[in-house]
Amino acid sequence: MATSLLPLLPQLLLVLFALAVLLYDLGNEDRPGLGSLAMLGPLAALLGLGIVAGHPGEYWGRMLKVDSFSLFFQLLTYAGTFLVILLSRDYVERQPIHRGEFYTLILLAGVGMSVMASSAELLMIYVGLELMSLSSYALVGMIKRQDQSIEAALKYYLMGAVTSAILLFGISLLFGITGTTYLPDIASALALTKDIQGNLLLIAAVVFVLAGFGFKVSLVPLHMWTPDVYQGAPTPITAFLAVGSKAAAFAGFIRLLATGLPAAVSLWQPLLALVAVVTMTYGNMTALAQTNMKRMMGYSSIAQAGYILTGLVVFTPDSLAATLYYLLAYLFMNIGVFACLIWVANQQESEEIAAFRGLGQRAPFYAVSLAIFFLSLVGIPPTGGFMGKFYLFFAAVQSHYVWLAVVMVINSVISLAYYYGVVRQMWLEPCLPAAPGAAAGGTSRWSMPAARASTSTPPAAASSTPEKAQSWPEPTKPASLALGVAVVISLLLVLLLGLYPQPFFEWVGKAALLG
Amino acid sequence: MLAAYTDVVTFLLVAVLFIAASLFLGGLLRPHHPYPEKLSPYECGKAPIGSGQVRFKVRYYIFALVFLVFDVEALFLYAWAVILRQAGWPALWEGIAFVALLFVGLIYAWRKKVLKWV
Repeated sequence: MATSLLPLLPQLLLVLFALAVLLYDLGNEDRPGLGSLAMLGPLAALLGLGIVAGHPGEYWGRMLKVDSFSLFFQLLTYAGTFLVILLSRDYVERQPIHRGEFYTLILLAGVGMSVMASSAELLMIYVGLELMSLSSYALVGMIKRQDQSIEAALKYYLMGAVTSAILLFGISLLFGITGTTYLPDIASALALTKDIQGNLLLIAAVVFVLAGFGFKVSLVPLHMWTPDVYQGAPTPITAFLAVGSKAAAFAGFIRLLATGLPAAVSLWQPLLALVAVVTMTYGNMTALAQTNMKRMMGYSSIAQAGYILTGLVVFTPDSLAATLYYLLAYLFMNIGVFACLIWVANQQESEEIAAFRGLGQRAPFYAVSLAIFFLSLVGIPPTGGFMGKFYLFFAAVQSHYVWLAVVMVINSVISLAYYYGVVRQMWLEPCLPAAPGAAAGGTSRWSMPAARASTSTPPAAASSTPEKAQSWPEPTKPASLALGVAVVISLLLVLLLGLYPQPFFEWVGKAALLG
Repeated sequence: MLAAYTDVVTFLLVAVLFIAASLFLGGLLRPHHPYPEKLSPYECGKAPIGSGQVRFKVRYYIFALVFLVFDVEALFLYAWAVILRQAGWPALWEGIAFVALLFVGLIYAWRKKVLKWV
C-alpha cells in the first residue's frame, strides 16, 4: 500500500500543506509566518517530485501516470504556485483578503493542475480541471468588497461551468464512440475507424473537448472572460490564471491530442490552425487599445495562447517540444511582469498603464526588469521568449507551415507596439508626483477600490470605509522584498532560457515524447 | 453508430407521449368543481398567511452546504462499510483519511462560526 501511494507524493504533500495553512489560520489570530508556511508547500512538492521521478510508470488502474511529460508539467505547476504565493505575500497585506483561504485555495488549485498533468485518463484530467477551476473561481472573487472582483468571479464561474459541462459532454461522446476514457485506448480504437472525416459523432466529440480546454487557455471564440477576469481578479491570481491555469490546460490539451486523438488529426488540425491565427491576431489587435495594464496583459495572454497553439497545430515531436519550451519561458516572463505590476500598483495605487510614467527614474531595477520581460514576450533575444518563439517558428517551417510562421512573426511585430507603449511611459514620459495617499502608507489602501469603482461613487464612501475595515491589520512593514525576489528569480530564468537553452531543450525534447 | 441511439430517442418519445396522453385523458374524465378553499395552498391544515414568494435568509444556504458535505460522507461510508471486510486494512486507513479530511472542513466551519445562527 505504501508503495502505491508513492507516485502521488507531491500532490499529497501539497494537500497536507493546504490543510496545515487552513488550520493554522484558524488557530492563531496574528498568524505570523502564514505565507512562509504556504510557500513551503510547493517546495515540499518539488522535493517529492524528485523522489517520484525515479519511479516512472502507471499506477492506480492507469489513473495516474508518471512520465517525463507529467514531471515537466508538475515542475512547472509547483514553480508557478511558489512564485504566485511569493507575489501574494505583499498583496494580501494591502488588500482586504482572508489570507488563510487565499493560500489554501492557491495550493489546492496547484494540486488540481498537477493532477491534470499526470494522468492519461480523461476522467482524471477532468477531476483535476474541476479542482483547479473551482479554486480559481473563488480566488478571483477574493476581494469581497470590490465589485469588479465579484463580477469577474461570477463571469468566470458561469462561463467556466458551462464549458466544463461541454467538455464532459465531449468526453462522454468519446466514451460512446470508443468505449473507454483511457487516452491510449481511445487512440487505438480510433485507428481502426475507417471514415474519420465523415463521422459526425466524432466531429462533435472532438469539437466539444477542444472547446472545454480552449476555454481555459482562452482561445478566441472562448476568450470573452479573459480581459474582465484578468482585470477584476487580485493581481497575483491574474498571474496564476495566466501561467498556472494555462500551462495545466495545455498539458491536458497536448495529452489529449497527442495521446488520444492522433488518428483524428485531419479533423482538428485545420480547425486549430484557424483558431490559432484568429486568436493571436485578435489578442494583439485588441491589446493595442488598452489603457489598463491588467486588461492589456489579458489580451496579451490571449495572443500568447495563439502562439503556443501553433506548436500543437504543427504537431511534430519538435513542435511539441517547442510548445513546452515556450510554456516554460512564458511562466517566468509573465510572473515577472505581474511582479513589477504589483510593485507599481502598490506605489501608485493604480493599475493603469499611465501609472508606469517615469518608472525608469524612480525604480530603475523594476523598469529594466519589466522591459526585459516585455522583450521576452515579444520574442527578442537574448531572452527565453525569443528561444521559445524561435523553436516554434523553426518547427512550423520544417513541417511546411510557413504561412503560420509568417502570421506569427507579423503578430509579434504588432505586439511590440503595445509593449513599447509601457516602455515609453517608463522612460520617455516625465515622472509623476507620488499619489497623495502613497506616502501615508497603509491608511490609503482603501482609496484604491473606491477610486476604481464607477465615478458615480460619492467621495464620502471612501472616508467611511476605514471604519468598516478596522478588523484588517495595518501593514507593519513594506514587504516588497518578496516582490523583488520574485522579479530576480524570473529575470534569471528568462535570461538563462535565452542564453543557455541547450539543457532545457533536451529536457523538453524528452518530455514531448509523452513516454 | 448513430443507429444505437434510436433506443434513446424511442424511450424519450414514449415518455413524453405517455405523460401528455395521461394528462389529456385525465382532464377529459375528471370532474371540475373549483372553490376558494380547494384552490388555496395546503400548509399542514393551517390557513396560509402572506405571500409564498419570500426571500430566504442566506444562512440557510450555508447550512445546506455543510449538510451536503455530511450527506455525501454518509453515502460514501455506507459503500465503504459494506466492502470493508474484503478490502482489508488499506481500506480502513483510506476511510479514516477521508473522514479526517471532512473533519478539517468541520473544524473550519465551526471556527468561522458557520454553525451559529446569527
